[in-house]
Amino acid sequence: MHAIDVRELRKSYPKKIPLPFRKVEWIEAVKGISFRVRKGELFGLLGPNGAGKTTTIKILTTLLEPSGGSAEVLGYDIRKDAREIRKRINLVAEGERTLYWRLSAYENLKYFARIYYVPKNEEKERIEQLLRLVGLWERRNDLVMNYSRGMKQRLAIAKALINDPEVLFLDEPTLGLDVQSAVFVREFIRKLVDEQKKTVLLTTHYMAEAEELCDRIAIIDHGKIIALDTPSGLKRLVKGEDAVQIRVRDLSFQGIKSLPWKLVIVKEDAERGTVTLRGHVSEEDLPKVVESLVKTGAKILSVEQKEPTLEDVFIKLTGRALRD
Amino acid sequence: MVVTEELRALYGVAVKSWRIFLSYRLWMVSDIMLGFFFVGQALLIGIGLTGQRNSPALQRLTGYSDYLTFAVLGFMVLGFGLTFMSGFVWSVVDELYAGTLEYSFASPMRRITFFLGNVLVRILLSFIYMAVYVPLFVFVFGVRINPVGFLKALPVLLIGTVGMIGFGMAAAGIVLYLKDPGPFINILEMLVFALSGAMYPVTILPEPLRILARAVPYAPTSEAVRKVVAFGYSGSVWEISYLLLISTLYALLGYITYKWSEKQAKIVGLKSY
Repeated sequence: MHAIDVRELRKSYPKKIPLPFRKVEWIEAVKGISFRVRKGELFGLLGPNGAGKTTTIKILTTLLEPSGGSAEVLGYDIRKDAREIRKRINLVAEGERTLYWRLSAYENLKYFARIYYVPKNEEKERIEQLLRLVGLWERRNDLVMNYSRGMKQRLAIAKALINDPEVLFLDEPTLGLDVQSAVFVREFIRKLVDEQKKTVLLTTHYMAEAEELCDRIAIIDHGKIIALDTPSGLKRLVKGEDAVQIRVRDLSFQGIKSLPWKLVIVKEDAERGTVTLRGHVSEEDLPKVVESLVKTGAKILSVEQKEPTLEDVFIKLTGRALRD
Repeated sequence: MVVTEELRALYGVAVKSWRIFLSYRLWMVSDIMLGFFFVGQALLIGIGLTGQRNSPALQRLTGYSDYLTFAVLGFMVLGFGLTFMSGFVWSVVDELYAGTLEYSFASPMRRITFFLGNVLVRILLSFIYMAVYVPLFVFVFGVRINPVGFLKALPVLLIGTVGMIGFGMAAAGIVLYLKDPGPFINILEMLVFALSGAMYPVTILPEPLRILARAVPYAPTSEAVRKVVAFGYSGSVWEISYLLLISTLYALLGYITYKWSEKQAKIVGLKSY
């Protein structure tokens, strides 16, 4: 049995609230995706904003009803056995306003322990254990409103472990965190899988995060899974193709469209006025690319040959960059 | 085991809600002052219009000659009844705006437990307020409350409570479905207040409004409570029977509306953030 088994899952949202006598247009956010997550696996859904990642998580955590297809979590049907699933899973939702800011960390965990049916005789010990685990025990009585973003996220993770879930859903767990907090969260997630044998499904639009953390990754775009494999398996899709990264100033956006090579913008630094382009260009073509860019008025700041990354996979599959 | 778990969850919600309420210390003070000024104004308007506290017109319409006692009873029923609507509606809205609702809804706790936990806190607050108001009304304004009549009215209030819970559930169901529920709640609260019969007998309302007032459970509860306090059960058979009917209907309506909107919310998502 798989921890998560998703078959042809679909979800449409109405553009406006459906009311009697109102003709409503529906937008398809998830378009028939299928994947399976093994027990003890760290599985990533990688895709740009609006790709359907959060919707997928909301369906699997039984917060939303799918429009079509089916899914099972730990062998339970998401439509019929919602409460059985909820007892065995937990979730870290996107954003920082998911906890009660006017309560302390301890009070927050006490509340969640009770609504997740943690036995009374285990409650105190588990809260202490979790707060120590995420390094918040010393600050347990401080109101959450006085916490930094990183501390709030660590508390959200502690909350997600309150019922000792078999499956954890993490929606963009490092979004908006400073580097130090993001590193802590990533290491923590990996440990959960390696040491506590939890199954984790995480969504991210950070390629490096997906590559560093996940055992397998499904790349999702416009509601469809366009590739699914291990990070190394995915990178094999662009093996043998030379990834080139060119940093330029004064780039003419019209100019690069007319070039015969596929170059996409992966980073823009408005302060410095620089743009970083990336694409697959052979060694022979590289001087011609540079020459063509100069002709469009761009000033070349650097040209580097790079190891292929998941960014290159995404570019190859969609023709667009998955921007951080 | 299942019941114990759910009761612990209920307690958890109530404690959380209570602590959050206490974190806004001035709320309680402002709530109490609001009620006190409400009754004070009722007295002053009554005396200002009639030149005296007792009104023969009110006596003819309701059996009460003392306008203040009439208004205090109405206010107590309204205050108690509104705890259900507020408990249901604001528990959804506050958490929708704060962004915490989804986390609670993702837990295995039943959603009705979440609402009832919040309602429990409002009921407790309502009792605390009453414990402050009643002596204040008696000493400051000289309100006369017949304790026996008051006790007799409690079962009637309980019947009305069923309808008011139904009304609250229906309102919460609609709120769950709306993108921006704030204006809807403001209108609803004003409407409930205007049609509750707390300040005046609903018989003086124009016919369409009178029909509307009798179609929501607040005015029928106020009327039945006042009638029982003044004339006992035997003199209030019609009011109690009507209250029984409307409370049953609202209990059903509340359940159906809430279930429908919960289903809808799973289709369109929780909208308010």
